[in-house]
Amino acid sequence: MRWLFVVLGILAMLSTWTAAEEPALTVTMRLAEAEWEVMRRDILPTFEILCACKVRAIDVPPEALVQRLRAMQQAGRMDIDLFAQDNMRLQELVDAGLVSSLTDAESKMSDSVYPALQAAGVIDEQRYFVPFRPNVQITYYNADKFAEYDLQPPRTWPELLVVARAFSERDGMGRVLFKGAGGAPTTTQLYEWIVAGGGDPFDFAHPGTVATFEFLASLRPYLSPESRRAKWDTTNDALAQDAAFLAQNWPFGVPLLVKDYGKTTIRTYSGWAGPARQAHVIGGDVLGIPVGARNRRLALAMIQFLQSHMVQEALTERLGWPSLRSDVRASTTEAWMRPHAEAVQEALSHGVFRANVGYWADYERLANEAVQRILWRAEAPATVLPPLAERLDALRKRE
Amino acid sequence: MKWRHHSLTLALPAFHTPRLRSLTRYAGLCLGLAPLTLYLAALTIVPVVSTLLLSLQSPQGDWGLGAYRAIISHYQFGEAVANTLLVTALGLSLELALGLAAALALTERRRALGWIRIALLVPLGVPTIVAASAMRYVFGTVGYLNEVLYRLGVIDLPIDWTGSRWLAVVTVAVADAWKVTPLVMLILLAGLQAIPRQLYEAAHTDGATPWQQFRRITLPLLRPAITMALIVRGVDAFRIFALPLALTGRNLPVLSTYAYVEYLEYGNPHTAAASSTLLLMMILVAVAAYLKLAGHEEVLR
Repeated sequence: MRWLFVVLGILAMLSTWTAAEEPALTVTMRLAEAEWEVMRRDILPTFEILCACKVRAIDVPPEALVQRLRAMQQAGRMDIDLFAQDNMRLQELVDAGLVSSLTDAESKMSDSVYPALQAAGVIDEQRYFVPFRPNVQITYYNADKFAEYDLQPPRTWPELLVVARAFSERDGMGRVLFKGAGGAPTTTQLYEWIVAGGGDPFDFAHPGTVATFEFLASLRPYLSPESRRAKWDTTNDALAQDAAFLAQNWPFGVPLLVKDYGKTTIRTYSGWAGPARQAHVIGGDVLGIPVGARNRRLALAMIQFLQSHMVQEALTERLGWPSLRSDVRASTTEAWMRPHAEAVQEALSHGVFRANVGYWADYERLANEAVQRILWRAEAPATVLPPLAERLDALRKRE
Repeated sequence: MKWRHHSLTLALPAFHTPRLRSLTRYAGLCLGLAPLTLYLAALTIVPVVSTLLLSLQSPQGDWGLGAYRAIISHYQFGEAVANTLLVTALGLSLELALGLAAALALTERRRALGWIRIALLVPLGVPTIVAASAMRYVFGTVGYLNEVLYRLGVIDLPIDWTGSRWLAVVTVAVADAWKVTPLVMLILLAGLQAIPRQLYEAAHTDGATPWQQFRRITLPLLRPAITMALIVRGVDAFRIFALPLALTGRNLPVLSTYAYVEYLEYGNPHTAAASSTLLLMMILVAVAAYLKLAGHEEVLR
């Protein structure tokens, strides 16, 4: 038995020595399953080899990141070295003093990174974040079903209503999906629709905003029942299972639907315009380093690596992500992916940046309540919106 | 050994006082209970008290009932309370009825029944989130249940099983019953097997019908097991979380999902704590009410 203890002792010493030799970098991101696969298989191991370190990648949803960082800061032990965060949830990180300045990373940023994206990381004239992943929603449709019912993908709101009604009447149930499960998916989609409708997303009394909600109310009877549960991930399920034939979602669903589900008849295009314009929220994630991070140098190296041409090209090719670099083009993608990449580029040309407000979490609560009551409780916009508009106005004034 | 005894006696003369003697008598007991006490204090009592204190604070740190006022005036809170009660009541009734039926059917000690018992316990081993995902495939509009009903000619169009509030309550309760009825069955089975066979033989000799045997022997003697099953499952049923969230999104809010959304999505730990505290109160009231009705002796037994 004694030799067994000796061997175990040596192994324990070796593991301690290895751990001491190889620094570990903890990174958090919010990715879909298919995206994690590419990240863990192709991207992170390359960085581990280049920097002779270990990368511990954890999935943390954007809404949980603030709480987690705050808890670590209070405990005096910051275990996260680098995080990717939704570009709509930045102000609260800055306000809570959880993110450190990245002025030292600014000079190392490549000139090829789109200037418009670089600007998104500056808050109160200080750089706290750098771009990682620009993103924009596109529209998915089932080409077979559209052909079968002799319909064209809608380009305007009236056309959308006609298509939604046609599917509903012929199938006996709605086939157009609105991401109405609540949370960020619902808020983001609503934001786009309000801008397209000529409204102000932060003013529920604005005539354009009211008109948008009224249009949604008119669309309600023809929406797919799956809309109640539709988020970013469940939208893919609904399209894959033919529960919905038309839906807006982020481009990560393309490889998933075409390659994993074999739904080669799913096509994409930029989408429809509202009375005012076509609008697509430029979403996506930026990178930041928490205050008190223990491996700042390694985190800065990871930022450079993730923004590099090699990584951006790999992410564009394999996941269809729009690149943050002007020297990585959609033409580098595989042939089957090109039409989808073009849809993304087209949508980006109608892109809008969401205003970064400190009361975003409260705004999301009000936007979700409006959608919940108007769409799923069939309450009239005229009764739902005025009190919500007052509460939103109070939030704006408080800010 | 004797000198040792003497030296101890000399060193600690108070050892012989009655109070200390009783303390030493229970020293082993106290030592044995210490880990559990510490565990309960650290992982139950401290978090519960912290949650209670958090619920009484505002984001600015002022003390008061603001968090409670905020959630009570919220349009979904009343619905969340009602849904919690409805899902619990319906789910528990289903689980008790099905669990009792299964336990009665499987109470015989036969080898074949042993395999059936094992098969019936499988859902208990499935993680709740996996069960919830599986249930989405069953109850989706293009799910298996609609497919079966359509092929049997029962329906022409798919049913949206979570489309209306009442249907969603039933769907969630049924899905929950599938997952946890085996636990109820197991508790009741243990209770049934503890009933002496001689009582049934005597009743049979006296000409009692199976229904009379069930009413006069099985049910009264099964009361402690039923009480235990109801309390164990009742506490759990109040806290139901993953199933309503996965099956209905936010269309069937219950108190735990309400607290989750408040905390994670709206970043408000105070309203989330207030909601959790009210859930705890509901559980305590329900257990106290049941004990009052069923009698404490059932639990003590």
